[in-house]
Amino acid sequence: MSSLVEQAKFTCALGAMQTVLAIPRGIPIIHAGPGCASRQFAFLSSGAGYQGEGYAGGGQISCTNSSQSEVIFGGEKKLRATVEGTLKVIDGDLYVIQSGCTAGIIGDDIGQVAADFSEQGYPVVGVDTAGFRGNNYKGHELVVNAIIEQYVAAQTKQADVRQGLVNVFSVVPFQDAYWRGDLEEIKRLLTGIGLEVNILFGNGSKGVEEWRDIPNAQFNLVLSPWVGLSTAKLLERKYKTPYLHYPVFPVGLKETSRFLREVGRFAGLPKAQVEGFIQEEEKRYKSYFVSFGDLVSDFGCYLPYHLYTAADSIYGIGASRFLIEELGFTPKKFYDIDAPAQKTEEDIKEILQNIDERYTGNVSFEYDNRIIQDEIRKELQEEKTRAVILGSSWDKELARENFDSILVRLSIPVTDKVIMSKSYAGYRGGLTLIEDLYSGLFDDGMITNTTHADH
Amino acid sequence: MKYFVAAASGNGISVDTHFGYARTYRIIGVDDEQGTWETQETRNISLNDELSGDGGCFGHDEGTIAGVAEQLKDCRYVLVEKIGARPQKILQRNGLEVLETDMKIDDAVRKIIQYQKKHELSSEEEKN
Repeated sequence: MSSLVEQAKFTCALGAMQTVLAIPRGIPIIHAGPGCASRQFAFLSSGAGYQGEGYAGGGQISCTNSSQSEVIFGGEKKLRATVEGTLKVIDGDLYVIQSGCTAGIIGDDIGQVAADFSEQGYPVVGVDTAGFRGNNYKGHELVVNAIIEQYVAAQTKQADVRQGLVNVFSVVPFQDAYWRGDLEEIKRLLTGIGLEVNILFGNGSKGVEEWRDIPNAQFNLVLSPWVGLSTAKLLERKYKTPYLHYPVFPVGLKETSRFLREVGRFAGLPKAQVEGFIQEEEKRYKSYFVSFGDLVSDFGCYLPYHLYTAADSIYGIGASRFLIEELGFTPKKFYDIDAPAQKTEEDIKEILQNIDERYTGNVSFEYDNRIIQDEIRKELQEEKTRAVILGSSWDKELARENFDSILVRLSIPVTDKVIMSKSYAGYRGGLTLIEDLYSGLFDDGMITNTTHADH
Repeated sequence: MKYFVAAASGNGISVDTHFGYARTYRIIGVDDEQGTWETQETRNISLNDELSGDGGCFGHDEGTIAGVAEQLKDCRYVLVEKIGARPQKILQRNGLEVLETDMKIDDAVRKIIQYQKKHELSSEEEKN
């Protein structure tokens, strides 16, 4: 990994301002230099399928626009004035002050400023998300944990446990371009087997009411290989809430059924209730999948078999498993772009090797997509065969120029598609993924010769 | 290292004047190795007094701004209560670092010395 990244796949910790915006009526206040917030917005919102500013994002975000004056004289005064102004002008339920690199260097005490406001009764939280603290996966965890430690802990001192209530810690809003549809679907699935869900982000969430409800959960669900684990551990320490760590994000029939059965077992739900929902969902899925079988046989000689993945460990593992286990793909390479901790790398390798032993020796941790592309290109040219790339808009030409390989935009940046409620999660998501992937067969135009491939 | 700080002040104690209205600067000589400073002079800025538009604020006229920069060019830092982006840029191009503050002059100078020490800047770097 070099210190210069040519094709970025994530942003810095300050990008977690999008996590705040994903909470209904969550308001970020940025203590950083001019331009920082707009850069985050450009990559994480416009570059994630043109998701727009939402309630209070983009150009609406308050920022201290720190300059040399703040570096020399300190920025707290300006920050306090900015927070006061934001509280007056922007109507929200939770205000999260995030400091960027400049404030991190100066040493402004964000936590103290936030505490001063929250003592007066304002819902203000302060988090140091200086860019050098890590990428926005890290930033997301920092912000979620800070909201729990500063806001939730103050609002809900005692846990009043309700059986059947679960908090979900899964995809990172905006960093996962399909987060809106994904979280909607995860909530629908869990509600379907009989749980009450605090989904915490997006349209399906009641906002801060759910966050205040976090301590009352029967259990927490960490639905990802590593992002969110620190949150579950924090909640276990603070409120003794047990957690289920389910590392494989469910895409398609098999994984989603496994997922729901495991959650049902952990939650102690009646088996018949869980199975009833699963049967209904599987029946619907299969009724569509059957029609796909005809396409597979008609276009048999055009089908791609090789799979390259360049995505984060959440969606990357989930989607790859679906392609390998249910669509018969051969795994070639897996590039994990989220920069996990060293020991987590071993866990991720193990998960992939358990999915398919052909992943042994073929899993890399790389966040410069240019390096990933160069490797994939070399291999495609050696194999001389059409492949599927689970990648991003960076990879459009790579796919097209190499044996008409098919690109599925699984990870950001996605700048050549519009994404709203689309999702690859769950049973329905598996069908959507099939649609997108196999539509790629016709990117060049109609195929008329099906007995012999003319590619 | 020794350098000058120009502070826009009406009362002589705090930085209390906007750049566009500052016709008098307190020039302070700083020796940051010793950590000491003292007032060298009170410098009056000579301006083209025909300027009367803008309610007396000359901060929007490029010629005047350049004239002020010329008269302060022996200084490293200029302290004002407020300055617009354009005059700040013009002064910066003339080698002047303009800082906004409303602190007491003594407190501001103390902070500058702390900053210089922490970052061990050489005068060559600054003038670039």
